[in-house]
Amino acid sequence: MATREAGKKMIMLKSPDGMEFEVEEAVAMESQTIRKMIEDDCADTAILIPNINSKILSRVIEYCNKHVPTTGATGAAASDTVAPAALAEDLKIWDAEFIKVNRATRFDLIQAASYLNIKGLLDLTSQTTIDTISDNSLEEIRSFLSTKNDYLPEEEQTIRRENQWAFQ
Amino acid sequence: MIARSGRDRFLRRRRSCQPQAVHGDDRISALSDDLLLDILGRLDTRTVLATGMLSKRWAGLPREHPVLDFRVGDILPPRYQRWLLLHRDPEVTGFHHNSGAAKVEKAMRHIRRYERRAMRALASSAERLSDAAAGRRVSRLTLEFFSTHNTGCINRLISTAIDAWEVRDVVAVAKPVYSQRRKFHAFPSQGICGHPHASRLRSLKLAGCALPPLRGHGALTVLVLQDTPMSTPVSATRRTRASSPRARSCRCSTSSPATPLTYEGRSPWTPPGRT
Repeated sequence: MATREAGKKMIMLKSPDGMEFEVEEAVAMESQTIRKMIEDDCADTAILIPNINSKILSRVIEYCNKHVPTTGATGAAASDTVAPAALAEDLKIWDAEFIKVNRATRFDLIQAASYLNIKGLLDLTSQTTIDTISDNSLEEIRSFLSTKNDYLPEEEQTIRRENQWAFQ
Repeated sequence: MIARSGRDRFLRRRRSCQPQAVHGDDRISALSDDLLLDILGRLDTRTVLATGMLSKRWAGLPREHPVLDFRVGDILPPRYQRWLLLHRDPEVTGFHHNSGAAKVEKAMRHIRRYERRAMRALASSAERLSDAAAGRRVSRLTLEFFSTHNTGCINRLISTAIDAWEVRDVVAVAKPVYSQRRKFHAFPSQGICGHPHASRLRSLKLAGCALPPLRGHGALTVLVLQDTPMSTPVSATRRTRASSPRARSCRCSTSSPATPLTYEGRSPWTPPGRT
């Protein structure tokens, strides 16, 4: 936070569909994958982020912007005056709003969070899937995940025996 | 959320009439194994095992899941707890007063029945899991069971976990069935697994169990005993320390967990009277 006035170093992120995003280094370093690239000096000009399209990448950057400690639009000023608990509460509400996306986008975000190694975003994006898996019947989970039961009846029997503890 | 999921299901079913939509939609199965395991790592054992049923893509994932919890308490129904409450606290519930000895006897019958049923289910599941031992990796196994007559499955599962799955941590808690004198769980006299010298077992916590012979378990560094038979502690734990010299910490409490008898220290233990 001391270097805030000293001018922030910017990093260029490129998505495979040709879009470029200029972000503060601190924001980009929310991603452990990018942090490592920067620390290893592999980030001179622009970092190409493979497999993550511009739509998803911009959402990821939006998330990092919000979650980077004591930066962003209100961060530095707010942390002096607002209690940390209130800040955390605010962030929680923001997260809840952020994750209101369709399933396809959510799975893309899970994948992006995993590749870029952003723990908070991975926790947030996989929570809905976790809730669904733990609260519903197999048929409901299959339909939520759009997964098809491709077992032959005898295969299904075998796997059910092995995992019998789940059905007691 | 629940209300919406019903509608979503309906929409999805309609959409599934268009083949390419279905094909492009199963995105979660396209995630890498590591990522799916990371997601499964936040779920309990029974839920993880259930996901193996989803599709072939998911079949192998529960076998990679490093934690297995088999707790009899997880499958006892809420009704069991209600009968327990009635039986244990008749004055609060007015149960004895209102219903007489016959009803109390009935409560006891229900309690026994639920315990037997849960233990049968646990035993059978443990057997099935031991049968399908191949290709599984488990690092931590927790078992909580009633010490009844059918606990051979528990010994077999622990033995499978050590011999075939190279388990590192084992917790076994034997509980007495309701309002009966404690019966300690006994392991086979030859030990807890078939090949102790190849064992990777690092920590072993036993409650309500007689201490098994642990000769040869070279990797064992933590042994915690709780509620062991009165005759166990001194002589047997010393034998254990002599046979597993790396066991750095051995904690043992015979009656209450609040006053554990603790052995600590890096140097191999020397039996008293021998210097």
